[in-house]
Amino acid sequence: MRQWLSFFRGVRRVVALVFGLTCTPVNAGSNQVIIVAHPALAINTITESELSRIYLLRQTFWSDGLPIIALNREVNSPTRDLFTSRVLNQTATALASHWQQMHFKGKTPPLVQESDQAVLVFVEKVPGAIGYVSIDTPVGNNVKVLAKLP
Amino acid sequence: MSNYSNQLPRVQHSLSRRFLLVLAGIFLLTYLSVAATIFASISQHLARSIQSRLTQTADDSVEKCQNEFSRQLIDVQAWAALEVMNDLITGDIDGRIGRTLVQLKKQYTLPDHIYVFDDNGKLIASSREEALPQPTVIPPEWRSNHSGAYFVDKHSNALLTNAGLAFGINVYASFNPELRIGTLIITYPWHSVETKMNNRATPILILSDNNDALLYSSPNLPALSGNNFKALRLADKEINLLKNSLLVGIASTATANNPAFPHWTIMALSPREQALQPIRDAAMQILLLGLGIAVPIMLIMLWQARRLVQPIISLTHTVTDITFSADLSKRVVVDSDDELGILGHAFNAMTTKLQSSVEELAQLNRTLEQKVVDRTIALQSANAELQSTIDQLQSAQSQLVQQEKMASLGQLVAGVAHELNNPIGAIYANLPILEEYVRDLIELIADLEQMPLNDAQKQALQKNLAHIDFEFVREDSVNLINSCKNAALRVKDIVVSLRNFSRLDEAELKDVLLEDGLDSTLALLYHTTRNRIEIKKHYGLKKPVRCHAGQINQVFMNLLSNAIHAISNKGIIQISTLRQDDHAVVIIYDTGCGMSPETLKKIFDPFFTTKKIGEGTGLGLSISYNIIEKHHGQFTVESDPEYGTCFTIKLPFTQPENEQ
Repeated sequence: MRQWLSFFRGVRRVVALVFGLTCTPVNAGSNQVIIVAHPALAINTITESELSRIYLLRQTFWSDGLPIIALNREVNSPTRDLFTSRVLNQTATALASHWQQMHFKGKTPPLVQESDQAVLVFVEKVPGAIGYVSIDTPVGNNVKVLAKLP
Repeated sequence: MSNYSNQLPRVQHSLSRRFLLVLAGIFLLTYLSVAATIFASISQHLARSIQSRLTQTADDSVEKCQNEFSRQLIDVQAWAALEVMNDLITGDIDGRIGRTLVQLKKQYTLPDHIYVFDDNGKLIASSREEALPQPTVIPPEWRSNHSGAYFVDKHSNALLTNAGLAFGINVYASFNPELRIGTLIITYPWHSVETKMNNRATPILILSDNNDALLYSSPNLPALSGNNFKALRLADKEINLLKNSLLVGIASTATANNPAFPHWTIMALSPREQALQPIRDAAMQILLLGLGIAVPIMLIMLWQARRLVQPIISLTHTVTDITFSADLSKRVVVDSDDELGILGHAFNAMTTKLQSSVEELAQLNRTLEQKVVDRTIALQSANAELQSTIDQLQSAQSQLVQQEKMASLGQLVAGVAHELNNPIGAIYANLPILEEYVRDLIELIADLEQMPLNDAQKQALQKNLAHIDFEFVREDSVNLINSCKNAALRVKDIVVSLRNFSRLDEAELKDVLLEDGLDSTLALLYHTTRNRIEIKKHYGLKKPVRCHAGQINQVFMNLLSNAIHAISNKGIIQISTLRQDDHAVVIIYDTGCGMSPETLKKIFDPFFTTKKIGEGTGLGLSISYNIIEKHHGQFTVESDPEYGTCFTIKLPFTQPENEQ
């Protein structure tokens, strides 16, 4: 399996390089993120602390028992930087370290999607999914907007 | 040596030939059985090795397939678990899956492509970089509800235009294993399978287990039609195919624990003729080896058979020679120390023994006659001994009779002598008186004549005297009386001698003077010696000898009477007595006719006599001899026809007391 792990790292690096360079300037200047979730989700709002619990993998199920599928953006994304520093109040390094620990404890870190569109489609399609998109992104009715933060 | 061998019957079943045949038979049997065993073993071994090689080849092919397909299956499983597959949910809006697939194909140099379909069957991404017609949907054969990786057997479709295989897996969301989000397919072109299966040495067949379809056939195999496949799959080790007999090794790719594997039967084939060539080579080698061994073995057997039989032939010849020539000195030449050599030695020993036996027999035969003669002589001597015993018995009987007769005669003589003694005594006593009377009468007459007488008277006287012839009477009367006196004296002597001689009253031992006996005997024989034979006496003994006087006198009587008979005309008988130590010796020698040595030998035999029949009994000397013997004396005789005969009697002075 070792070769597979190395392969993943290789893929990630390539993906980060290609997308990070092209997508970074898109959301510059915005300072808010929209928290979106699957339309059928039981809750309608969410607080920062609840988000922190979810993204720090302390809460993995919704109140109705559905598994929480948190979405993240790629490393180089300004939206992710914003979400990390402003909503979760964490540094990227500390968060990565935390997720790594959690990973080893058997908890999956939030999935990465490389565009707001992808996040939106994913949240729309997957029950229990939650994610964030840039404030500039038009959000249709296919997803439930839980909050605009910070 | 073989002088007589032509007289033997011809050898019908030669021992050497039989020996050869038996050995050859044994060799052939052994060789054939060994060769058959070796050949069977080799061919079995070779067949098994060919079979195992074929099976090995089939197994190798299966392993090759399994390795290859396992890799594909692992790939498919791993790739399906990639996080990027979650993008199926978003329809790969970012193109991440497409990029990944292109990357993977390049990195793994896949022979064909990777396709990813979403759960609805719509093609989301593929490793093909050229544009594909949109919308492309998943071919039905690639679909499966199988939970793990699965295998799609040889097929072709729009995406897999040339035939090939496909490995597929349903993709689930990484965050939710329940959520199926699509299908991942790796295609595998058939020509890659063919490339892997292509084995120049051994042709390979691949049959599908599902529909008995031929999937692959090596190019060097003849074209096969569909109806053979079933038979092919059922073939075990060998199959007849298109007039060729083929050896088959079979292996199956199906594994019980992995249903995702293809169900193929892979067969490795080898033409029987080609495969069994080594077996035929081995058979040829064994045959050549057999021939190679046979030649020296036959030569050795021939040599050994000759060697074995030669001594027997030699023995037979010798036996024949001995049989026909009857020469037992012949011997077998023994030049070996085996059993036949020992037989030869034994035969020689037997011949030696036989020879000595035969010689012994001949010797016995030769000495037999001598032995018969010896035995005859012995028999004759025994016979003679018996005869002599009979004679002795007869003589003893005769002696007894004679002795009894003599005893009776002695008694008679003694009686006669005793009776005669008185009258003869009277006569003898009266005769001198009678002589005196006669003398007186004659003187008276003379006186008468002288007287003065007348003439008449004178004349009458003269006349009477003349009448009685007085002158003659005067002269004759003196003579007569003398004669009578002599006669009377002789009668007296005879009577005394008879008494002395008989001495029957003296049966017991008595000391007597032998000279008396001799004198008495001479007196009895006086009438035969008178005027004819001079008796010379040399009596030197003068000592009494203890003996049976009557018997000794009988001996003297016999000897002297014989001596007298031996002297036919005039002669001398010399009688000597003398002492010799404690023996008395009497020697009676006569100058008679003597005896020849033949006669001398027989004189002591009973009934031997030289006198006329009726004159002598032939017992005299025999009895005398016995008497002297009884007295423990010796009786010897010397005789010569020229000088006469000399008898010597040697008697001991005393006799043992107990003898009576």
